[in-house]
Amino acid sequence: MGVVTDKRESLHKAISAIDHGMTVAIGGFGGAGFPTSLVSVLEKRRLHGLTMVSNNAARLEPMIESGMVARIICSFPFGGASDTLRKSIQNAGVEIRLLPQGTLSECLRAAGSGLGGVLTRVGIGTEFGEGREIVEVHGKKYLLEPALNVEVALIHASVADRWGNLVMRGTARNFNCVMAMAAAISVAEAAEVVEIGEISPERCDLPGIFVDKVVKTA
Amino acid sequence: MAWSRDEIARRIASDIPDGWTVNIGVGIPTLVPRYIPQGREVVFHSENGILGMVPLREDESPDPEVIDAGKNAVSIRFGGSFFDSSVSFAMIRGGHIDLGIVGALQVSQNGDLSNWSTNERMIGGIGGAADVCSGVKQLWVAMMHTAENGTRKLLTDCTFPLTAVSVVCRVYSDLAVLERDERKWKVVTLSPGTDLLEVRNATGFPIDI
Repeated sequence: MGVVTDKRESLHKAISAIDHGMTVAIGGFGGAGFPTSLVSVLEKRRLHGLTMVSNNAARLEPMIESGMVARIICSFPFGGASDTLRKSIQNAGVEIRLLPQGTLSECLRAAGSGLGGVLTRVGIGTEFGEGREIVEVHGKKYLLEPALNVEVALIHASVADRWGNLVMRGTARNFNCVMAMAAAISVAEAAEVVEIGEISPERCDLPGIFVDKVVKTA
Repeated sequence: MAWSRDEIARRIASDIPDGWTVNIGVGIPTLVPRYIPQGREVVFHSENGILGMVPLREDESPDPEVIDAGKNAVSIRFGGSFFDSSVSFAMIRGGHIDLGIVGALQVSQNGDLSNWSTNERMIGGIGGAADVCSGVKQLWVAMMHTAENGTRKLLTDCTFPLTAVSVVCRVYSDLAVLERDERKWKVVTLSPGTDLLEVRNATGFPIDI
């Protein structure tokens, strides 16, 4: 008898992997693919000094309000953000580190792919190129953007199995795949958790090798 | 009569050649897909992971997991596909997209674009704008020619933080369609009843005929 791989875990146990000062990636673009259940439990933890990697800040509002967040690495922090949230971010001294959206996703992908970083022309001549090392390849100049490793990723899928294989829908894929790849520990929530073999190998959006914990949501 | 936002979108839509793949940003650009002439096959790309994005039909119920870059419910046409952010931005940066249509706060004579922040206030953030503007083969801007208070938005140099440098090919405004070649700009079309002098007065750089 071999060891049975079973990544299923309770919501609270999975979230207990997160500690003070950690770097935590949260998937989703708008509401699509946002790990609502995982984040609702994380919000209740009394943690501090977290670095959040998330495309947007508006959905992190409760954590910002309760002083859990030190820094947000993002591309579109204030999309849909209220003036109250803007004020809270300022008052709490939360650092906003802006990256172009494609650079954000690719630096996550690089981190999960054993690469040291990304060479990109996006940002050259703008403030997004400031302070970056310039590398010349085939006569073209590129910015060197270092890989973005995270300690924990919280992601959303439609269907999961106990190996962590995931199926996602529509535009809910977004950052979820690259964040899982970049994380030391990735936690996936899914409303449906099925038996091994029920997810077609032809239709698996993220192979379970990138997923450490699977949480079934109500 | 100056063109309305919808008329600007209709004008842009009529200029997109058959078979092009087009990324559209927020603002006036989101109106463009509804004005593509019947029978013309234009494929719309949305940075959050759709090729073949189409407006939601009236009889179609919105799917919270199928949204555009502005977080509005949209739909997908036959032949379309969904993918994750890294693949989406590979399409954008990799030169696979023919045209980007974006809004602007300012455009410079050199074709520089500012569209994410005034010096006082970040609008939403940079989002995918820097990637789109530097990655697509052609970039068209859809904008009101001047700000609501009459301030010029087409300037010798942008005064707001830049999104990308020397990228704007055309400007579609309420007053005119303008085209850039290096630092030279010419009028392609004037809106009905607008004369060249009016456009020149509303623009901070020289315009040829």
